[in-house]
Amino acid sequence: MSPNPTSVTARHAAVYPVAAGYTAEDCRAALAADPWSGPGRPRLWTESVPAACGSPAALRRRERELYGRHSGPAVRLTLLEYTDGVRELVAVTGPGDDGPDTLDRAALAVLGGTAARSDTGFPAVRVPEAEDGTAPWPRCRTVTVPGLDGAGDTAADLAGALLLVAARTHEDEPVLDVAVHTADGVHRVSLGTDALDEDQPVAAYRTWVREELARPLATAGGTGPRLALEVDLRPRAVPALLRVPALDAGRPVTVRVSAGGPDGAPQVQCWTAPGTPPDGRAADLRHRLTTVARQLLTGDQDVPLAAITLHDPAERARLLALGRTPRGTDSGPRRIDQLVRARAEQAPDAIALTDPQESATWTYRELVDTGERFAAALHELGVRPGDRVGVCLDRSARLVAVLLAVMTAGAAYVPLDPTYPADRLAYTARDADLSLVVVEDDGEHGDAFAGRSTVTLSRLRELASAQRALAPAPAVGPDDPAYVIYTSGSTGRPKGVVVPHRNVGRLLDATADDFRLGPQDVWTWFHSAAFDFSVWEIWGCLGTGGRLVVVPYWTCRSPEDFRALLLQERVTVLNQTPSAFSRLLRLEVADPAPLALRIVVFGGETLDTRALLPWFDTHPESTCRMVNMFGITETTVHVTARTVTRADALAAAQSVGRALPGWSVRVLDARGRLLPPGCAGEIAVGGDGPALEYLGRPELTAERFVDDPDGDGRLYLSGDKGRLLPDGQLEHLGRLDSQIKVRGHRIELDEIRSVLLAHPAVRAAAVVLTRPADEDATLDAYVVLDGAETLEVRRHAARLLPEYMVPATVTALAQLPLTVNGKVDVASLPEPRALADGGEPAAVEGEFGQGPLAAVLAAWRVTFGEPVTPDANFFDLGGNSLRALRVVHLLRDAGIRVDVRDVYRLRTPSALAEAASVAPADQARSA
Amino acid sequence: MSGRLAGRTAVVTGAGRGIGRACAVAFAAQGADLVLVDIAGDLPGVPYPAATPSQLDHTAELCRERGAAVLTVKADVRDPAACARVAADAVERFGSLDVLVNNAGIAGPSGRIVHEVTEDEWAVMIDVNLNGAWRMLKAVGAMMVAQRSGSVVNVASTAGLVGYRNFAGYVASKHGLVGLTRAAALDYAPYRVRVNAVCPGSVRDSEEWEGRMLVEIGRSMEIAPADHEAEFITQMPMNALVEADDVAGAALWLASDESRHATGGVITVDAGYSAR
Repeated sequence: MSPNPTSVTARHAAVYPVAAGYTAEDCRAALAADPWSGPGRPRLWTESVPAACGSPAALRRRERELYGRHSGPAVRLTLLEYTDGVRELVAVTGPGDDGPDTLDRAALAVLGGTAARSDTGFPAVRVPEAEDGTAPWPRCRTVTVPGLDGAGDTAADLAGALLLVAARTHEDEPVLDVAVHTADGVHRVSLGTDALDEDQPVAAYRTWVREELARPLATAGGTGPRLALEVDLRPRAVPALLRVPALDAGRPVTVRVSAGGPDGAPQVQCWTAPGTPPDGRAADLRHRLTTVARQLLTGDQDVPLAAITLHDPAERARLLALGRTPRGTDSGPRRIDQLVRARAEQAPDAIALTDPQESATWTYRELVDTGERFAAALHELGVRPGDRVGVCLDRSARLVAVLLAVMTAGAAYVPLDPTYPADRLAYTARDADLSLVVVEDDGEHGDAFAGRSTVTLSRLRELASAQRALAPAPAVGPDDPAYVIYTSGSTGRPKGVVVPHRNVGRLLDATADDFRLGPQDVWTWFHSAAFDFSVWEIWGCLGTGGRLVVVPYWTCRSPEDFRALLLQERVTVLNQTPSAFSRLLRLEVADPAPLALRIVVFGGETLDTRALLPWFDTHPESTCRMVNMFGITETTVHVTARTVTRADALAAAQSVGRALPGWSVRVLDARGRLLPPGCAGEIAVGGDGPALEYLGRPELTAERFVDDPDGDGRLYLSGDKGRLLPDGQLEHLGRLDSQIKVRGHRIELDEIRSVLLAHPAVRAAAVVLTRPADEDATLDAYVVLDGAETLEVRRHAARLLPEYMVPATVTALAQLPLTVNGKVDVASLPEPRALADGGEPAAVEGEFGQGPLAAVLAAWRVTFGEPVTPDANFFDLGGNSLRALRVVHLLRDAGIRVDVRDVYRLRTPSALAEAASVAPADQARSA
Repeated sequence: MSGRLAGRTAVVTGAGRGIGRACAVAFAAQGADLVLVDIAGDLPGVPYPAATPSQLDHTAELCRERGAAVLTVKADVRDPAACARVAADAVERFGSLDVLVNNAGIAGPSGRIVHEVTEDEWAVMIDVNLNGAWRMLKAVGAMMVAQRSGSVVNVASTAGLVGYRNFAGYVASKHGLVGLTRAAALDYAPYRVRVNAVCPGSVRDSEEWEGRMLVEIGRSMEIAPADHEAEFITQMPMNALVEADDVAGAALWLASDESRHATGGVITVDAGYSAR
């Protein structure tokens, strides 16, 4: 690749007018006669420009001369001769030259003093300004800075304002490079933001800046971007039409201050460096500089610096509107059970639920009837409006009926995943103060619900059969709690998020039209009821009249079986975490199937859009829409949506889209102040999404759910890091706390993961930090590979990442372990494998010959890292879903086909070997 | 600045007219700044008039109309010092040099059976067509290697791929140029400096670009100027003559980043002539 053709090393440039009638020959003669001493005698080039001075073509040509590369040590002088007889001299210094004085000296050498005459009738040439931001040139905007009158310390006043703007809008430590041109030379100082104290009063801050600037050659380090401020207030002997400060691609914006602005005030210009995208940065800076300078220079000097705002009220309103999408469809506030009942009234005989495991189908009428009779039974058991009822059931159609019943009875449901450990269930039951728990007849949850009233599903059915349907509790409205879902954040104990009915109805209003959700759709219910993605799956489907296919637990764990189900049930709407989807994707890439999917919604995790490229090869965007949704339990499943296109996948787009209609997003800094687009900070969500509270945690609720100072109701502070783009789309940048420090370096785990995924053979990746508190902290990567060695992946990472971010180990896995919620299960990742590890030990278990048992024992030994006996229990050895998968894959390599379910069900090597021997490969389930 | 060569500097030799002018103008239209090189004066031993200084200036004018900054240099590619000066001036004027089009070349003296070619005739043909390209490469190579980028386009000919009767010197020089292209491509590949060749077939003389190679080739084959186009067309599978613009299009692609992984390539633009 060629170097960026527009990148330049910092050098100054200026345009000088040439007196009428003063020709190229005169210039040459003057230069030849000039006693130039020292290195770098300037050379003069002449160019005829086929346009009149000041015309767009002439300005473009002049821009090229000003910003074109110049690598020589000498000043480059170019005489531009326009068709109207006007001439201009463009002078450019060599790299590293201190600037204006050298230029003036060279100009004088060529113009021989004629230019100094101001009465020669130079044509007035406008200093052009790009107002639309689309033209790559010119790059200058003039700024009026209130309070800057030239009387005070101009350099310090501007430096203070610029530094504060930089500090507020960049999360890394930005640096302001200040160059003050004086008669004695150039005084250079770099100001860092690390010592900037926002609690000090404005007056103290201004003093601090002044003192910093006075220090000799102070330099500041910093990892963030650099801005430049150039102050040159000296009167100039040689008039110039335009003076360009040293522009450097490493300093996207340079502010130049010179004498001679209107009313004798210093003239302030914002310059954008060539090679930086015309993204309006200079325009944004102009606005913020003005706003901040006005407050610093003319406002109250005793307020703390933190009180200075970046935006005036109009700009603030514009930014807030940018992140807000107005409501579209408005069906008014509704209860979830009413949504389903409305569907049942519209199409009572439409199929609401298919439960393949029980070979059962339920119509909407049956679902609502059952729900109402269950509700009556719950009432009989003492459940009253406002209560919370635990539901600890395996996923089945009946579970949906129970959820509906709880809401019909006016209570809120609290889903409890029966696969959770008993301690976790007990904690939830206690924390939520459940008045009743509905459990399976043979539920294995130990004494999790000891001391709490429970009712088995069959008892509930028994009671229900004796009841008349219970009419929906009238006292309960859309604003009352519908469900409480427990989330375990990265810190602290799980907390119950209380979500009212109304929010779910709003979510359907926000999506149904755009996604064209309706009775023709078939949805899967894939996720645990305890994960709020299921709220969307269940009520999104049943609230829009679709058919919901209950995915059995084991089918969720087997991509092959899940895909068969998608085909068999002609599923049209699929919701997946990216991790879970990557398993399906691998199957589809190897052997595409005629799926009926028309929309796939991603949620729960950050989507790496690049991973979808192979999907688009076989499932074009025109037939199946891929939607990335960012959401949080506390904001009712989703917040934003973005349709991912092939172009997005190619560009590795990180945008999660605009806020859903009725939702709003904004980005705040660490002090809760609004940040402009392009700046990364904490994502705050407002509008129709925020939940009611954290159950029983008033302090935490007050901390995370705050009143919107701009009157948008309540805001949820997500703890997620993001950035609003200028078009109102949100980029999600992971958790605020995923940024970690290793041996003093700031590291983003997500960034490392993204680099790993950029390797063409890496299908999925996870990065974890081990011994985080330790000096020996190491980064370990886990990857799912398709045709490459781990060593190669690490080399790839080493090419793209600084040394301290390169994972110490890269371990290849058949699949990444997932949590019940379908997210990467960090706790279940195996010990990292040293890179030198060549492969598995030979699978020969002599004692048991060459039969299936020997192969099974070998697979177990490899999986558990120690020899096992034929009667060893998989679970006693610490077996989990990941290890089961490992066994399946190892056996597959040995020509024996079993699936994960067999490993779980049969539990011992001998039983597994027996099953394998009667199920030879050709009869095994198709992959 | 925008365009496929925005911000790039290109040196084109033989820029006074014909393919050289077509390339220069095409590059200018895509945002390049240009260093236009031509001998702009007659070469002893070449039986037809070379480009003139005013033709070189006209090329410069056409480029400037497209917004380019232009440096014109009168230089003979047979002179190593002149080649070095071209490179040095280009860098001083434009800060770097990104593209070199080795287009300067002669088609005559030709038209004789190989053993009747004189020492001088042979020498001038090889010196301009082959050695000239090598000298320019020598002048710019170190700089392109240092900046780890650059694209060299050698304008060869179908005569670099197949033989033509009574054109031994021309054919040998163009075969040599194709060979130089491949060898230099390998030398420079580690430094991301690319070297490719374009092999035009019979290019129609152009009024606009003032090209007149074909009529001179025809003359040395004793074809009357009035008939030469018809004569050449009959040999073309596409029943058409190549235009200088077609060659410039190929050169533009090779000069730009669009061809970033093409090196050592030989692209024919010959209406199918060499496909047979």
